Amino acid sequence: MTRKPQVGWLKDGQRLHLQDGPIDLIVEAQGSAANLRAVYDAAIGRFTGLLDELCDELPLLRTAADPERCALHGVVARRMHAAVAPFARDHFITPMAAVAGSVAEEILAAMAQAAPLRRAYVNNGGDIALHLTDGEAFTVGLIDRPDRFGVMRTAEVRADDPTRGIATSGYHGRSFSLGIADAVTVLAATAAQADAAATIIANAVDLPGHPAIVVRQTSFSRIAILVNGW
Amino acid sequence: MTTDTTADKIRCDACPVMCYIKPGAAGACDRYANHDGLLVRVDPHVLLERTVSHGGRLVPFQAGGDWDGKIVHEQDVFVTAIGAGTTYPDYKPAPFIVSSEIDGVDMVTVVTEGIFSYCGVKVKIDTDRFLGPETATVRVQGEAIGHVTTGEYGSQMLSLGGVHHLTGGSKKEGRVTCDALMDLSNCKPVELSIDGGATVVVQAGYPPIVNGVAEERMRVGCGSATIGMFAKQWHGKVDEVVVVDDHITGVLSEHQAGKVLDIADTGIKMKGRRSTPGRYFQVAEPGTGWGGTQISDPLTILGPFDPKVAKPGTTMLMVSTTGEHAAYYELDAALRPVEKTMPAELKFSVERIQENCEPALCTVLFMGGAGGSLRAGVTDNPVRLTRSVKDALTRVTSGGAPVYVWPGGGITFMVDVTRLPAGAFGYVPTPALVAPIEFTMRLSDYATLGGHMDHVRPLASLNVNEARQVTAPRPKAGVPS
Repeated sequence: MTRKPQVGWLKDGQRLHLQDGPIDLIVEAQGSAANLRAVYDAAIGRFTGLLDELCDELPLLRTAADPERCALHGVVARRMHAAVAPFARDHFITPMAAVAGSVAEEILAAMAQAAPLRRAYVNNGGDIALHLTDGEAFTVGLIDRPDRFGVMRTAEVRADDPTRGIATSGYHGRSFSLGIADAVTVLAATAAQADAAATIIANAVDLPGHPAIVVRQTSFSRIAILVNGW
Repeated sequence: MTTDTTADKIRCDACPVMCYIKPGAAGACDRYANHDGLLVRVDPHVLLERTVSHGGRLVPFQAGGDWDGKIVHEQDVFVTAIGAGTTYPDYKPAPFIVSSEIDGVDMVTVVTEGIFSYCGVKVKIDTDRFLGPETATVRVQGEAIGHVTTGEYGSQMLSLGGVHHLTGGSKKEGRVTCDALMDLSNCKPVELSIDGGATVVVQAGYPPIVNGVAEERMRVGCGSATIGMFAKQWHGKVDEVVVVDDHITGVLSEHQAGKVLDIADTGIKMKGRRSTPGRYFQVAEPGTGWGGTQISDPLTILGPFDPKVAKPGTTMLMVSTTGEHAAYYELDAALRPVEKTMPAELKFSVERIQENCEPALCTVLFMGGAGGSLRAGVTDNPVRLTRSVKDALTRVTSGGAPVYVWPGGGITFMVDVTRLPAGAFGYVPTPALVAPIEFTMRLSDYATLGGHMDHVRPLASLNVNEARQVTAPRPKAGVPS
């Protein structure tokens, strides 16, 4: 029997929340009422069992990606590999670096296939897959101060832009960045590509051994503090 | 939930990822954590409480029954940090990613960070009852953990903890202090005994329990203020009113409020020291009886009525500042007050006093100096870092709750512990408290900090990977943690 994901609406009643294990998705689509129903059903249907698919190949997904060949079978797993493969020759990177974006893409694809939509997104913990039809746009924002109402920066993604994926990686949170950047946000053609690229870039933002950077470990987190004019 | 334990790690089987979780750490989902060898669900507990306290609706964590393939819970609120639309940077800390609509923006991603700090708590106890003399030692299990400080309006204040009790006394004193601070900060009840005073059970957000009796209400005002507030309502219904108060006892016929209403002299004679007309200090010793005095019979604060002025049959109401104690008297032929059944309209006025008294609560503010541990090892010019907080370039929050940053040197802040997630405070055996604190700032603001690094030896970036692995604090030689 397939384990059921958590399914529910956020309190605004507009956004669907799907959660299974470490995967948290916020899903919203715009289109006709009948289509929306089909589209959300499709999102839930595709999400169910998706984590198990990934976990079946978890050991390989956690191994450094081969830049030439992909031994993975699952469609999401193969997408993860494809996203990190371009970096695998020069960097240590595993397909897991693109897991969030790849999952977001997969769910969005299932939705778009179910019925026509004006626009939709699947936000997987900040790694976001976008669906846009002609004339539509999304505004995406980054918050640097969660205690305040408001965003630091925004970006508009229009239908005629090549961007369909956005991902953020950084020092904080669950992205296990090796670098010191608070956040690196990447806009790319796909969410999986954005996810992989954000990881690579965030890792590269580092100055190992530089006297102006102090890294400290507290009981709950590692903190890096830039000093001396850097 | 079953767990497969390997050494001190736990294997979580909440989902097929099957994380091995070290003590004090969370799994990949940040939902399940290893707490003292037990697998615990982290966030829903907190949010559940918040949701309940905000009158929110709940849905079960694991909805029962088979899913029919349709979207369920359409009418329900899904309990999650993301759904809550709140800022909830976890003290783990803070992979805080939110998706909500702000400023017309469709999606947002949030970044926070956290460090730990410690110090003490300030406790405000809404009661007129005498808890102990100012500067008296406050004890837990016989150990000194703080002292009584200046009283505030309708409240007694305690200052507990601080580095002196945490580390300056015996080992036991430090441990007991640390435990008491942590419990108070985590909104748990703590029994305090005050030298030369009362025993009081303090729990943030709950009424104090003084010598075994739960306090219900704050006083409406001092005795004099109470006279002023209710004089008009008493006018014509009773000849004299005495509002018994350990601070200022009020007497209606002598008080300015009574004079304005042309209330006649009654020949009453108060003990205590007259401040201004109708206002008396020190009518009795402080205590847990009437109006925060030690008295149980209010007539003991009166001298004999003046036979030249007083008339038999004169009526008198005596009431405490909370309306909790009240009695009605009439002067007999010998001008002695004799207690009688209180008329309904006076009872009503006593109830009115009660109604105007706010519920008595204990409130606990955690107060900590965040500057030390943050700045140590960072820069030999710490004021630059502090200044960015003072200039509001760096925003300080504690477990997501707003803090008051005390002006002046350092980063000393106060936070209402009831605004933090449950169990937000911990401790280290130093002993010291571990408090959630987040510094949120732009990198560009850090970039402008400046300062010299001559004496700073970085924890080598070579150790970065190693540092990322550990969850325990990594003390640096010569740097207090």
